[in-house]
Amino acid sequence: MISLVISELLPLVVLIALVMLAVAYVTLLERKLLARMQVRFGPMRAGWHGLLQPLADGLKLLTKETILPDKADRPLYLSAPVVSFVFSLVAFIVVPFARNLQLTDINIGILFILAVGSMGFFGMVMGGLGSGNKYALMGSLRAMAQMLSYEVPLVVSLLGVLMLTQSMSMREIVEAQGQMGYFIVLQPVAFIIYLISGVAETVRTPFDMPEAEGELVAGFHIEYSGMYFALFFLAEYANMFMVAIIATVLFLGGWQRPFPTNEALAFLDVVPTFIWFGAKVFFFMFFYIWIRATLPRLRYDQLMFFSWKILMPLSFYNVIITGAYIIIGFPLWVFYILSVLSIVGWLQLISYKVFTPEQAYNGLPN
Amino acid sequence: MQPFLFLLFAGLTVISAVGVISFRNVIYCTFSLLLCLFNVACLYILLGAEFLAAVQILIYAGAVMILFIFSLMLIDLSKINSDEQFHRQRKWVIGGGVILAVEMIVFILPRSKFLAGVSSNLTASNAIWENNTVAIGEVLFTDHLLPFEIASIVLLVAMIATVVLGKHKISVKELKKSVAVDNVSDAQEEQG
Repeated sequence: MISLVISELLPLVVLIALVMLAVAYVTLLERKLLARMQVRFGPMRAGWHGLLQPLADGLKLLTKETILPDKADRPLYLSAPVVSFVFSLVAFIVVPFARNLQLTDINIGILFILAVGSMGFFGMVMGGLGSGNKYALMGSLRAMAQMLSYEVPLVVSLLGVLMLTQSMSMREIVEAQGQMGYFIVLQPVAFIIYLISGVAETVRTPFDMPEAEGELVAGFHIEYSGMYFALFFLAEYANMFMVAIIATVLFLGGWQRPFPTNEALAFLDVVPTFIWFGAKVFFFMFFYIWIRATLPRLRYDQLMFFSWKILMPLSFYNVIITGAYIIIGFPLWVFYILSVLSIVGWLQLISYKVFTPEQAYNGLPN
Repeated sequence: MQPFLFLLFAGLTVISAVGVISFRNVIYCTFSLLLCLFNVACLYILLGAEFLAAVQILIYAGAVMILFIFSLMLIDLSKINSDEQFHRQRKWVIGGGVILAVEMIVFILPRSKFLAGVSSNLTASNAIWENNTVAIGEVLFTDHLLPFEIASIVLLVAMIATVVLGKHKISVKELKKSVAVDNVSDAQEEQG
């Protein structure tokens, strides 16, 4: 019994520890990269070029006092960060980190990740409701509307990939790309839609309405301090990791080498598969940080407009075109032309004056 | 292990279901409902229906509950909290609950062999469908195609109705006028 518990629990503990370590260093990576992009140095004091900074941050947050506001709703307030944190970590058990490195492969892998992600989001809601603070409430109200809006194009954009692989298991999706090539080639529209709504799901900068510093101070986690704040913080970065991992596994071939269908590049198999995986995930993390440093925050009505009127119809078009591609089997260039036509056609339609976001939001001027 | 897990999730389901109707604070009621739906999803997993479990979490515990909380945030909770719950229904609720509980203990439990049934059902369902996502898809698009299509049409009608009800009413005349105004102002911006 004890040996069974150890053999079941030990990989889990190791996985959680590694994920936490990675998450901690992503915070450092973000600070360093942001600093570089703004012509600063970033953290330099703790360790060589700030390498021990995450450790220092963690210790600082651990030793800080946890403040419980007078007006807070105790059970909600205290359980919110825990819910957020736990559900953000659970999803990692189905991730294929390398060819044979996956804790468990369930046949609804990607659906499991999405379901768990939607539960973790309740942490944010509970934090907003339980803080007894108007900014926090506004933040979680915005978070809810945003999640609800961007969840739809996100899930629908993944449908195309699932249709091509005929499976939802993470391992089978990666293996299918060994034969069919990366799905970014077959599903370019879905990839772009996923990238955009992925940023929205992690509530990061162009879409950070729930915690917009200029308007809501810090949004749903305004009242949190010390370790409880750290849990929210870690959950946010773990979610960011998860979004990057889904993009890697579904569109960039997971642990497969570049151009897996090309035999001439077989010598690349010498490189361990987890390095390919790590490199791709790193690329997406870099991309998200880069976006944060580059783009300003969207206005709220623009945010809604973008999701419901541009991303969602396009993701549905993509599903229809992919279905036709699978059934009729026309050549790839026809598929591309149809994809481009759908994007251009829809943007053309949407660019008519009747559809501008200001009018949709405010009603028509008299 | 499985009977233990079943008891855990079933117990949590019942406790949270009681919580839904007995908490004073509406927010707690909502989160009890969330917990209840989540535990039902766990029971689905124990039965080997992982697709159903994931959909239960994603749609009921996820989307529907978000809408519940969303509407809770927009109403005045202080009025609701002060109301007495159950009103005149109290004796009916207690009476009905007792009858149902007695019925379950006397008639259903002895016949279902209680926990022995859980594990045998599990193996049976696994033997039939290795991958029950595929199974659900096949059944939905063959045997139950008509109900499936009718359900989608009903949902589409509901969706269109929501859009129509929520939309700002615009007459064609106003529309033309506003487009004209916009074009003029655009032209002015370009010149200026």
